[in-house]
Amino acid sequence: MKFLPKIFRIRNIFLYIIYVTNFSFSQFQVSPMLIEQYTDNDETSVSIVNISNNKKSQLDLKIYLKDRAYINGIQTEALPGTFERSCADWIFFTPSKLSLGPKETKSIRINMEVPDSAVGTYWSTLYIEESSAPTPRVAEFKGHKINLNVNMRMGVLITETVPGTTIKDGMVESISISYNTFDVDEIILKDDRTISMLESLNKPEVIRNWIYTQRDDLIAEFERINVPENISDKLGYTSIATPKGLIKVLSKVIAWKENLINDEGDVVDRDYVQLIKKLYSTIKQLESKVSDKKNAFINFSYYNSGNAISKCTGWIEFRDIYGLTVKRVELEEILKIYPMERRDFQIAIPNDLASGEYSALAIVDYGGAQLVAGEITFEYEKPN
Amino acid sequence: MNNKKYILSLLFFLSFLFGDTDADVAVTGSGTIPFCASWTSSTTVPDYSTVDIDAYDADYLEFASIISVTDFDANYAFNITATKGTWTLPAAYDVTNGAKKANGSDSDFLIKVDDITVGTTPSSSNGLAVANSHNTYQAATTSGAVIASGGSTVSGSAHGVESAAFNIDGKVLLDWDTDIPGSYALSITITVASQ
Repeated sequence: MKFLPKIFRIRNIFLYIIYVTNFSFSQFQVSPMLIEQYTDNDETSVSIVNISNNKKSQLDLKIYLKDRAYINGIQTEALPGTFERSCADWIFFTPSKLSLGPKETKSIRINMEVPDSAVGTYWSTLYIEESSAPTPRVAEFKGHKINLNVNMRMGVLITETVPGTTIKDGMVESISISYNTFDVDEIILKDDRTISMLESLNKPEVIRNWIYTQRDDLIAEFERINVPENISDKLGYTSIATPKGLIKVLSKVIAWKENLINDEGDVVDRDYVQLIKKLYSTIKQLESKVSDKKNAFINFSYYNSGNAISKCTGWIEFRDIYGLTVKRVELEEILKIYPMERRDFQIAIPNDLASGEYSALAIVDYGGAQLVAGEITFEYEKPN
Repeated sequence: MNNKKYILSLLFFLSFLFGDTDADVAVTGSGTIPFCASWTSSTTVPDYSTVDIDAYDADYLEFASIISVTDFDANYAFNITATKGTWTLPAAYDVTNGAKKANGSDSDFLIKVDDITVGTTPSSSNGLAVANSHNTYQAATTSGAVIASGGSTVSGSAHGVESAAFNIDGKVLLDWDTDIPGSYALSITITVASQ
């Protein structure tokens, strides 16, 4: 009778499975949504996905495969079988359409045949999507009709790891320091040429950090800019009253850049000169209003160059000029990083770090034979 | 005697196994506890037909709560991704100078997540949260971007989220010089998947 406790343990596991799959009641439920397989080469595996319709009406679904690809390290959706670590071509599933009555549950059967040449981890996503047309979100005004169709779907991630073939590897690709200002060049203060101002404003981070800012305090600080009359038609604005409008006009001025600059590198139209200066000074003025909230960050990117999914731990070490560690900051999350995926990290420099010269080491433990790190030396000025 | 005990114990075990296992138990290749997620979304679509264009900055049109998820549950770490489709544009639309591109390669549709209820988690942390700065409007892309995530994959303390909620708002940018009167349509796909 020694194995009775084991029986109860196994029973509890099964009861837990039932609890987990049942605690969430909704219109549309898929279980499981993660299938992790460890099948050898030349072998076949079978999985079942259950779909439940918790609505009181019929639910029509379409089922299809796509790849979760990493192009230049960035996750993107791709056609099935087009990504080199895709297992879509090895998968056969049925059915591809389902019609569920009220409160009905049906299953999808997934067969996977792992080829002889497979090495490491592969994955694909099986999507389950309502096939009935979504309720349109329509807005109409002044002859314009804008219709947004919102579809909702569930993705079942299917991963296949060929046992004994995984290679863990990774690298810290880049490391830098940044501040959460709007990144308008300070150097421009010593050079008031309009073209330099325009170049300073024409940076992705300036647009990105400003665009559609929701800060009420900045809106309150904003002083209306009047757009000179003879260019207001071209820009479609007679005045600018919000930070959002400011960036919109700035984007248009930047788009016009080639028409604004002569061979000597000067802005040819005096009204544009006036406007660019006003845009620049307004952004600088608003930036100064948030300087007390400025923080510094260590940014680094990690790339999984192995063929297996990594669960990483990591930390940042701040070392003084003598090489002694004065501060260590652990990464908040231990992430699941796919082969060929690049993940960006941003860690705030601790507020209690004194001003001075430091080196920062971003160290990542990807579970392999060694740690990987990136290092940057920097002069740190404690924010006010 | 011993054999009898073993047989009785086995029958006892099987009675629990088959008694409790119903159609909701999923079978996976690995035999692990399955990851599942579910949501309940509002079936009422907000009325955008009464949009007062004068109320806006005249450079965008906001679609508040294009999706309102009132109950979201997942038993493992998850990502919610927004993927933009392609634009259907008026036939006379200036495809060269107009910002909206039929293939969706523009930045004229933005999306954000708000009114978040983080939900319940075992450690009261890693509940549902916005991702990639989607607490403010970000341009949606055809390759998709994670707009919210939750749960944890940490060994020894992995968990999901229960009873979370959120709204998704959309914003269409307007250029009065190129966005001529006519019908514009865009599809957006919201996906829930495992991390």
